[in-house]
Amino acid sequence: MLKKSLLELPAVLLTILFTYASISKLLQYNTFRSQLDQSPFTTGYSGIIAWSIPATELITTALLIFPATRLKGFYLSYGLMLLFTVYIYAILHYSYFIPCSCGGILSRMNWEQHLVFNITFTLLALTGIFTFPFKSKV
Amino acid sequence: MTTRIFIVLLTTIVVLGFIFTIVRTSRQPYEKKHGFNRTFRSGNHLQLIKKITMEYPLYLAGYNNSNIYFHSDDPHIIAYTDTAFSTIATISLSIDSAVGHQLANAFSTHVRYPEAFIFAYNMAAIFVYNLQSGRHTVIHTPSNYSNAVQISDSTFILKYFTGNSTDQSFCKLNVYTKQLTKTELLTEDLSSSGILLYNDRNASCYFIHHYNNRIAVFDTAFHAISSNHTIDTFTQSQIQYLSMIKTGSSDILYKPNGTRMLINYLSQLHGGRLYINSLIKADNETLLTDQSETVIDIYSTNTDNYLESFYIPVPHNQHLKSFRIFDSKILATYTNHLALYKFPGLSK
Repeated sequence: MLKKSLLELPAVLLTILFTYASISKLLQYNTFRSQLDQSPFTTGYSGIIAWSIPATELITTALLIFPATRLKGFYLSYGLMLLFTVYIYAILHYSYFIPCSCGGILSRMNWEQHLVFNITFTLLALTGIFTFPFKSKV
Repeated sequence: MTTRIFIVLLTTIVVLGFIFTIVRTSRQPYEKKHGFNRTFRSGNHLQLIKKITMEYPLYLAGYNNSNIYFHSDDPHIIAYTDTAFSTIATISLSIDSAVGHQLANAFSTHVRYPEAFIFAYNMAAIFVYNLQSGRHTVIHTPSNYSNAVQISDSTFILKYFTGNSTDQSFCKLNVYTKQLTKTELLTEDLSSSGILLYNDRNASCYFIHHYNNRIAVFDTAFHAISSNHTIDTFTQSQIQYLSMIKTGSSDILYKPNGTRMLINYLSQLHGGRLYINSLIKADNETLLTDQSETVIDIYSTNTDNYLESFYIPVPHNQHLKSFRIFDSKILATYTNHLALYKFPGLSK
């Protein structure tokens, strides 16, 4: 029982994360798009990213919920979390300036805390991929 | 298992490739010719006098005859060193943890000893800490703000969010009497960010725009003295304010008006000269791609003319966080160290 719960923990945590992340981005669409506009790397693509990221997060959530599609959900989770992680690393190391949050768009975490958070969830997605039960051969 | 490893590796390569592409693309507008040249002083590189390694980045916060003060990304910490740059000591401010959390990402600290002023941009407040007595007070500002500069022991000029269609404007606040003077002047093109400086030689303020080449100079009664520009060719503001009425959002939003490029980054006034760290490559420059140096353009505050430029080193994997010129030296703060250089002055 305990083992089963532990095996399902990555899927549960990732589902909560992507549900929250996608809904908050859609509810605050203008703010999210404005944040993308302010980024030195995404300013030219903010229109498409502002929709595609929450849409992909919602698809990931749906895939994670059902056991039959959960492995695909883990792959997508890994891709998204790695994308967010490498993006923050690039902002911190390759951008000449770090976008300011002055004027009201204030995140709860700073960039370094976001990086650690994202690395943790990237590893969680990897854990999900490699601990997901293999199909038993008949 | 092999399939899973293959898919993970493929995903990793695709993600890294995507990020690599957008990072490379973001640099391209900076690398092309922009139609201006710089004059460089002879003698080339700055000579390093001393370097101190830090665990975290520091930003210059103020100085007096005996000490130089810094703040960090943690609002609780103020660091200082003597002008000989002997060692770094720290002072811990007793800031409530909830306030400290709210300050994160949107504050800067200014020290005029014995007082430290924490500009809480998103909290519509200035926290004043007396570094000798430990006492502190909270000064409320008219609203959230994006710049502040001290013009006397008691008075600050702020660039604040008006909450109406003008978006941002300047005001003058006496932190002791609480007297507030707002202005309807000088509101043109204030939606884009910049650096606000005070020149005590002629009691004037300088607002150096980040995303275009304008420099607005005005007196402490908000009368425009001059409107100058840096030597690059970026005359247009490349950011547009979106009215809250139009977006229906409670946040203050902007959208880029064309390719958004940071042009003038860090600035400083010293000895009748304005020093501006520009990120735009001149046509007679060939570097900047690897960012091993960054250029500082020097302007005369008397004639408003461009004088010449020099480079400050930017070591690999480091960012220039702040710089200050004093006593023929330049103190530069980076991602994880401070460096003191000899500054020989202008070539002519």
